[in-house]
Amino acid sequence: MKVRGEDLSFAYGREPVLSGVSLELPEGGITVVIGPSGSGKSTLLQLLAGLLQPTSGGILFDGEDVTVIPTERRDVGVVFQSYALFPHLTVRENIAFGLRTGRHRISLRTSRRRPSRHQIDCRVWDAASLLGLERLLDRRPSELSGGEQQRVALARAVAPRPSLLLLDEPLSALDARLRRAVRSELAALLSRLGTTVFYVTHDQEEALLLADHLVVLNAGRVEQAGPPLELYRCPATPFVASFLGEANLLEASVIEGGGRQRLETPLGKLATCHPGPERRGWLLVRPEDVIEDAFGTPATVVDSRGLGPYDRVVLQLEGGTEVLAHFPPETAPFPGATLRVGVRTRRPHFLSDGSGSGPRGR
Amino acid sequence: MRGRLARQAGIAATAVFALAMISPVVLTAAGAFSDSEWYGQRSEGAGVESTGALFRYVIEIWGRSLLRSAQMVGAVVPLALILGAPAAWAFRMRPYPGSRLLEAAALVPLGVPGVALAFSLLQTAGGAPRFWLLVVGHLAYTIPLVIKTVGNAVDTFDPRIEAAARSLGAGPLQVALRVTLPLLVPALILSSLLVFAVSWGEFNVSFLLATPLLQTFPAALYMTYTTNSFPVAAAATVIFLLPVVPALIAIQALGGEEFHRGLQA
Repeated sequence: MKVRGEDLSFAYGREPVLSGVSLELPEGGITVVIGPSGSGKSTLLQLLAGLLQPTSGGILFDGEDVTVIPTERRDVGVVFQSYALFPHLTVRENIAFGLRTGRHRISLRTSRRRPSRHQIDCRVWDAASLLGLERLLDRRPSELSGGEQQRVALARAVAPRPSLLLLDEPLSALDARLRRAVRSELAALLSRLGTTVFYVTHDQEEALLLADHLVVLNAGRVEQAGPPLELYRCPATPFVASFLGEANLLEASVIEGGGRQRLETPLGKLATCHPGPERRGWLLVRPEDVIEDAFGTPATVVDSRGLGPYDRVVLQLEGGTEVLAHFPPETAPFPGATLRVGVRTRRPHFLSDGSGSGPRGR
Repeated sequence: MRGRLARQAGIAATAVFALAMISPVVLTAAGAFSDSEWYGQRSEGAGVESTGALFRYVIEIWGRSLLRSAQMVGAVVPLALILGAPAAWAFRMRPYPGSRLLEAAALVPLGVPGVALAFSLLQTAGGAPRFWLLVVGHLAYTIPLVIKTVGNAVDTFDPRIEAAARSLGAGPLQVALRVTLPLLVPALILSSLLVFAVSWGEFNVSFLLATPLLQTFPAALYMTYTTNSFPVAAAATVIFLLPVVPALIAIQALGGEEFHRGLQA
């Protein structure tokens, strides 16, 4: 199903939570919304689910206006952060709940008829085997581990085969190790389902791993939307740059010389093809793009920590600017060492000054 | 070593407390079955010779009060649930400006002396039928119990549980019947037992609002203790305790995990 939000705004009393958010979820794709807490991402999910009504703006499902249609009559499935399983029902009954309610769907794709008992049993079994819950069907939620509860919540949401699946930080209640394992399972499962998915998270690794389409939300507004790697490599604003992964944002100014544009930065003069009119801005250098370079800028190692796959090194450039670098463990310098560094990328990403409020902390 | 000592001290304290609570009741009840001099004679004008005759006698003189009490409980228990449970649910699941204050205000009657409540009821609605005046008096003391019991049960809900049901296609009625009510059943049973126990034993308001034709059993019990001999009063007490003890045992039994999880659908 194609889902569109048009100029959505929402406020609690006079406190604006979302202001003029427009977005389009690609049909059958996974749209991930990422943002810091308080950015309005959960509110946006509740608007699409129909659990909240926008103060202004509209929501279209396949071109049909569903803005005032209540949740129970929208063709959606929701996985909540806390799972919200029914404690008085078994796993089987939890999964069957959405199949027994006889919802009057507005989507034409699904039948309006209530499924028979046999059909319900089959669908429950399908959802359970999709998530490996066959052996747990007669347990109650209180008898399940966190990871199992998460899978039941997902099975319950997908069993009625909704056209839009909404997930609100579904992995945040799991511990770090389990989360990493479940994350890749979830990615495989979601792409196998082929449903349009709207996924809310604050974890940038999760976002980059799952997203076909990534939306960065900040203070109730869409900061940038697009393919995840594009947002990572070419963020439009310093906020997006520092929110998706670690970023060095170095002051940069455009200089003309010999018919070519060049960037004057603390890491030296770099070639650029920046077409905009702005002369000042920020150069985005990802830590993995900082390399040792015999012709580069002199730098002193301030701090160095081994993280396993790479060493996290803080460098102080000539001139005082601090830069974060990821070096391979075997070549990483010790604190106090001096070296010359440069940038790996051939075409460094330049953010013009007018594009945002300036760099934030990492 | 220390843990064991603390455990033994705890058991001893519980035993002393239980003994202090139970022994007066046991001694009183025993009075109904004994005719030793220590308990006093069993002569009440009419010949009361055997224990069976004693109970027949009590039923004969206080049967009407017993019936009244049963009627009271029959009216108070459902009314307290119908008025208290939805309020408790709304206070927690649909809080609105001032709902906290209202919930606190609903508990105030628990601290008001029965005398004051009875007289204020007479002042404001003295012309109303006495029975319903009494019912209102009992509701003032029992609705707070329902609000607290059901409110605590609602607090154990996942705040998203009704939203989850709606997202699965359940309309407001289905959410109430398939999710909210089943989850509240244990709390509703518990609070109806509490209301029953309190209403059955309520004395202050009942005594002050009683008329010769409208006397609940606890008020009658008072009359018995002041006018009849001890064995008659003791027999009346035994009759009074008959429905309360099972209710109290049930309340205790319901406190467990079953209560928090909700009943099976």
